[in-house]
Amino acid sequence: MTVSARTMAATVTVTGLSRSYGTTRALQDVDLGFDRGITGLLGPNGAGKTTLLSVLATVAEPDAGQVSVFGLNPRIKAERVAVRRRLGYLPQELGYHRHFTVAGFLDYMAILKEISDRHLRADEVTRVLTVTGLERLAGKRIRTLSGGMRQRLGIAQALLGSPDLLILDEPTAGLDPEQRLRFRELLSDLPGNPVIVLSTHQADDISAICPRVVVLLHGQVCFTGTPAELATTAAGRVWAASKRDESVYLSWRGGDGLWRNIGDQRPAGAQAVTPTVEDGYLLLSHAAGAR
Amino acid sequence: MIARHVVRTTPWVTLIAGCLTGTALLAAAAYAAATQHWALNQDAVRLAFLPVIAALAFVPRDPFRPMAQTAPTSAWLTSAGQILLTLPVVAVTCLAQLRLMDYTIARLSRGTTAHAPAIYPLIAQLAGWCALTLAAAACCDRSRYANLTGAVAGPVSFVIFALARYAPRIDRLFDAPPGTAHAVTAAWYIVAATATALLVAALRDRWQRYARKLRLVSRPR
Amino acid sequence: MTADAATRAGDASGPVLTATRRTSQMRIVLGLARAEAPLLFRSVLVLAGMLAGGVLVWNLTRSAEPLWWNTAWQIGEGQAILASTVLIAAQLAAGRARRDGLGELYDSFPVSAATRTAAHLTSLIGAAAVSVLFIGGAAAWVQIRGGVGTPSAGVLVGGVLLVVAAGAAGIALGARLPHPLAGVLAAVVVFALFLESYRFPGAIPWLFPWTISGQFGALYAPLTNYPPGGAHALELAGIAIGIAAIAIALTSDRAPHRLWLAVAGVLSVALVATGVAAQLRPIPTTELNRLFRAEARPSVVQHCTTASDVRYCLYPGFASQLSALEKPVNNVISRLPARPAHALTVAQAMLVSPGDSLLTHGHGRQQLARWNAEANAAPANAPAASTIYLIVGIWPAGAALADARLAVALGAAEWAVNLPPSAIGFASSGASCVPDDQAREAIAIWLAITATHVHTALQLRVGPHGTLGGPTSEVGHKMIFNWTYPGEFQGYISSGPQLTANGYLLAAKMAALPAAKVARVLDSAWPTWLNWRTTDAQLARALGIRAPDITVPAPPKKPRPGVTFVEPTGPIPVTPICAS
Repeated sequence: MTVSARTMAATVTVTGLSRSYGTTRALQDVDLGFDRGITGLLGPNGAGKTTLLSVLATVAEPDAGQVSVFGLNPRIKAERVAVRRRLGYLPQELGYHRHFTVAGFLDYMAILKEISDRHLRADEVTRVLTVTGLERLAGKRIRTLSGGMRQRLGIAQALLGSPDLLILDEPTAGLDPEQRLRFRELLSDLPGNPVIVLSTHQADDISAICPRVVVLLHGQVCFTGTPAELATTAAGRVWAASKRDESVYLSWRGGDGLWRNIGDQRPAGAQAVTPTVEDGYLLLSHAAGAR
Repeated sequence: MIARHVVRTTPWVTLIAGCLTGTALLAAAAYAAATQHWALNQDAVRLAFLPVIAALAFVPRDPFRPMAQTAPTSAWLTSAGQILLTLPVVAVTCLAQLRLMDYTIARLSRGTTAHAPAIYPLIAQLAGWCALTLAAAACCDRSRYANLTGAVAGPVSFVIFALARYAPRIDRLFDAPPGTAHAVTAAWYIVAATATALLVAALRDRWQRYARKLRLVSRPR
Repeated sequence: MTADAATRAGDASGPVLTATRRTSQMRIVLGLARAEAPLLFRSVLVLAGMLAGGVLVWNLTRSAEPLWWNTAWQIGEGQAILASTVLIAAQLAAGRARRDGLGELYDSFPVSAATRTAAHLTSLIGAAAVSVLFIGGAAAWVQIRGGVGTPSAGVLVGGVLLVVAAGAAGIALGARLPHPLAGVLAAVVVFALFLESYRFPGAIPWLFPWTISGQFGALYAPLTNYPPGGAHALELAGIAIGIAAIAIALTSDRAPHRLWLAVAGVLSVALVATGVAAQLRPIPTTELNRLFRAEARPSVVQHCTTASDVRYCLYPGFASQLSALEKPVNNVISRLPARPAHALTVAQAMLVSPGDSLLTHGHGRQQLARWNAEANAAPANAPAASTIYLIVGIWPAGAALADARLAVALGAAEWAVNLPPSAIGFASSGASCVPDDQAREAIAIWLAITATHVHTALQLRVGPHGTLGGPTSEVGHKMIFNWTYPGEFQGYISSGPQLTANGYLLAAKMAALPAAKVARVLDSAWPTWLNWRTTDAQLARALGIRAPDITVPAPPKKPRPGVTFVEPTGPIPVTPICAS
């Protein structure tokens, strides 16, 4: 995997990034570059996605390696604050101030993002409420919101201030299909073409909106490229059959009643099918697990 | 089977912090009393018991209730188990504090035949306090202040104690003097019983739980 | 909303935001504080603290005439409760981010933890506003009830500083310990310190956040710099600044902050040291000399007026009590067939003990002995038969005034029928006699009842709880039931003899008779009725009514189950009969 060319104040790069939690190595020697646009981060639980995102969001310090965000080094306090001024972050597990109203919460977050002018702040809050479809809920207490609405609220706070770097950890968790569609539209139309890094378990989201995808397995980068390229890694190794085959790596029944098999050899009676991003990812993670 | 879970989820740190704070306060007062030749009285024990009450207010909280109440086992078992586990700790703390008070009284009244006032009304009062606080906390846990529980239940309990002590007419029922020791004891045990009933009602599973037995689904062929 | 509209809205705001992104920290602090202050102001805990504090102040001030040099401190006691709840609320606010699972998100913001802490501290303006409202309401209440003297600004400001300091402590705590128990425990500890502060000797109680002293209300006027309101306010200001500095230090890692924190620390120490030094300084000897002289020889400072041949002597500032005193006295006198030869004096008396180390710390034993001697020479220790003493600081307000008027009327009536008074000063034994089966006792009670228009006999209870199982006295070889009138144990006036239940019952029957009939009987043989040997039966016969005769039942031979008789450790005192 090659590191993207480092461009001053335009890209985000990590070089030789390592981070451990006790004896658990969450990230090992990760080299990555993120250009403007959307990059999807795929990986199973414990792969290191959240750790990587929290390092990029400057809330976790790496044990080793370099991080550069628009040419700024987060290890230096002043530059770290400068990074945070251009950052929007949605953590994986986001709590809420239950007794705040939706608008009050966003207003508070906007102040924390240094939007001190009252009128500007009000306009910005209105904007993100509209963009995330929460304008009718502005006066409602957060404790009365459903899980999906809270997730949209989390996305809304991340969008405050039109950040240049948007870190979203599983942003579509809890969203219904229509909301996920709207979310994809939202991301595609963000002003300023920010750097967007989002992690997800949903391969559909990767296929739909991410021009680039990174697969993390066991704290290491296993793949970077386009979704099509990820799907291609499984070319010739995905078959549909009427029954499960014990010789393949993975086998599951689809909605059409046929069994989808991923392996090295074609099972008897099975037909080859066009691989998807999910297929490529599953093959990669199986291979990493076998190692 | 759930005993291990109950033991693990009981907020021991919170409870012990409260018990130790109160006992430490009383120990400091006992030391000052010993050096300055005065004795601790029952009011000092009441004051030292307030941190215990504050900690107790954080016990009846079950964050797993939304999941547990869909299980066959009653959800209130966990909370009830936690409360039962904390009671011996509270009792030991109360005993330690009464011992401290007794020690200072004994020091001061050495060689005299003076008698300290009876402590059974005090014990009844502390039992009433505990029951009231647990009931308040359980009610808070079912309200919109569920995430704060003890921070709301604790002060609410303190206000009730203050009313019982200082409000005109009410103080005759719950404070001796002006009430008599027997009457005050009985009053506080009645309060404890009522508060316990309220606690039981507050801990019960929510109304969504079916009251009737579900019919067994037909077995797969 | 369509994607095009969203794009247009985003394009419009992006460049503007970038331009204003870098803004002064002060504006951020003020913006956050503006968001936090209403949350604190409207917090259920703070409102409950205000209510509980208000109830406490109401309870403390409702029954006694408010003296501002004492009442201002009592208002501060209510503020101590408010401060406790503000501490909890501030701790919850400061720990909210971590407690609600937003710690990681907050860490990703450009606004630092120190700035957020500064904003929380600035938001204590909301708590200060609550405190000022509290003081305003309490002060208005006190003034409506006729506060004596003027409020000390230093003491009242000290209450506000107490609330602010408690809030700062809560914020410092919440910065490190977000668990709600931390705030509750801290509030309990602070409150416990406040309650137990009086136990410490000398001037040490002043060093506690707030302290209480029963002797403030016993003073006829504040002494210069005592109670030390201004110095205490300085100490609290220093504590508030120091705690605020600690709160920011706990959340800051920037070197420039350290300089300001050091400056704040030095300022805090200076203020606290100045305040503590001023509070620990002994009260000047001249001031205490003036105080105890006013206690021993009140005529030196009191203003005396004469009305209807009764002399009223009050300390300066208490003139408003005059009308409340004149009415019952005049009503008693108007019903007398004849006045005693010795004129009646109604005078205030102070009972201030030189043994209170909060007052006299720092002075030597010889000086204390001199002051003790002066206090023991106070006229209340050996009262004349013609003087009623009103104890400073106990005169009531509100509904209890009726009890006080009854007490004054009773005192005047006892003077009128030559019943001897009891001494109440520190040097007195407090012993009183019992006018058992003496007609003059019933006459005195009748005079008091009719002078104060207490019509309903049920208002005057024979014993505690309205039963006849009340206190008794041993007189001679028999036990008799005492009569305790409402307000007797409040100590509004110097006490007279211990009145009896039989005397009250006879007086109640007299009050039910036509006033003219009673007046006729009393006029007919006034000197006879004043003789201590004239009995209740004789008076009752003259009035044509039956004399009451309630006797104390003998104790049971066998005690009831659950009842324990405790043997007395010494001889039971026998109350003498009033035989003069």
